[in-house]
Amino acid sequence: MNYNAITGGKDAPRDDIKVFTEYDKFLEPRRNARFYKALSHLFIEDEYSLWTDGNIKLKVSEEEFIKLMGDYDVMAFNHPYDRDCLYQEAEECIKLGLDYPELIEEQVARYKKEGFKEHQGLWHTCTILRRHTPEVKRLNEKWWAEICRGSLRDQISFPYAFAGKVKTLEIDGHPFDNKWFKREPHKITRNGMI
Amino acid sequence: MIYTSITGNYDKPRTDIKCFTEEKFENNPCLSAKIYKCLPHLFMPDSDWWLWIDGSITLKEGAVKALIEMAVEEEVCVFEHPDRKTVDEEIAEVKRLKLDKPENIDSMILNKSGKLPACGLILRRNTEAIRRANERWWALITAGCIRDQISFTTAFKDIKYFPKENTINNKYYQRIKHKR
Repeated sequence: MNYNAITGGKDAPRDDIKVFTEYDKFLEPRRNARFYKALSHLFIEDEYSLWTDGNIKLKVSEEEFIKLMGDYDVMAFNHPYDRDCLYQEAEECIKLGLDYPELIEEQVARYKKEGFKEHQGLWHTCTILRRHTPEVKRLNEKWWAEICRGSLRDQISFPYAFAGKVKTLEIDGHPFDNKWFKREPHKITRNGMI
Repeated sequence: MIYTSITGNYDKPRTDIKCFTEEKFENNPCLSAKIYKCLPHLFMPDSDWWLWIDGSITLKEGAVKALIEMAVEEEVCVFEHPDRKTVDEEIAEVKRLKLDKPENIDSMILNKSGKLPACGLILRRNTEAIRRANERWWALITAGCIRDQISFTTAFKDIKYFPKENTINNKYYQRIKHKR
């Protein structure tokens, strides 16, 4: 099932894929959307789920993506901006003011102390294909715990949860318009502008 | 590590044990307290074991040693619930007292076999299996019912149950009334 969550009016409603909107246990709409993004296995009964961000329009069908996944159970695009490491992503998020710096610093310090190495991969989590195996369910739960404990910026914690398990699909072309997808601007930007 | 969490001015912060008070989630003291209860490995990763106690519980002298001895090699230990025996009985009680929305409970796929735990005191060891079970518990609680006793036996396997005790005052602890 190709799905998405719109929980705060950041993106325009869409009818081409399944859109989840109901979850509202947290005050922050972004966290409510991440709930659906991370814990796909809890509300999608299909064998596969394909998450796409609200502003992403895929040019390839779910079936074709499944074929590309091969023997892996998780597939995502490489990060488009020459970063291959969650520690670089954390620095960038701090630099751009995308979350509380102390929260991100505490999170990556924990990863470092635990021995998570640099350059273990960085993925563009705008699209994630998963096969709901027991291991993937477990990794989803690990990811969700990290998103709640640490930064809402899920690209920091995705490698920590999934590294070594992800088939990487190279973005072939422009980061916003390429062979695989077109990325539209959000209805509401980071600054809250419509 | 003995710990608790007190958020939302529910009780006075404790100084005798590790006490988490920061509200992780704005305007949501229940889930803010629960994240510390569920995920100690993400807040205290260096501890070999964690003993969660509710904010209203005070341990008696010698209790920790006795509990650890009773646990032997087991990785997760709780007391049996003193009043109810099964998850179904607990669900009925939560619905009767309107402690959560029925749809939050009914949407959960639960393991309803085994004994019902009393989750006011939980002893866990810092192992890979327990860390993963902690994360499963947090996922279940955030997805479904906030009343954590319902989902405990779904998240954790091989639970050791300490024998039933009076939950207000027993040889291990005493419980005082919440401030509100």
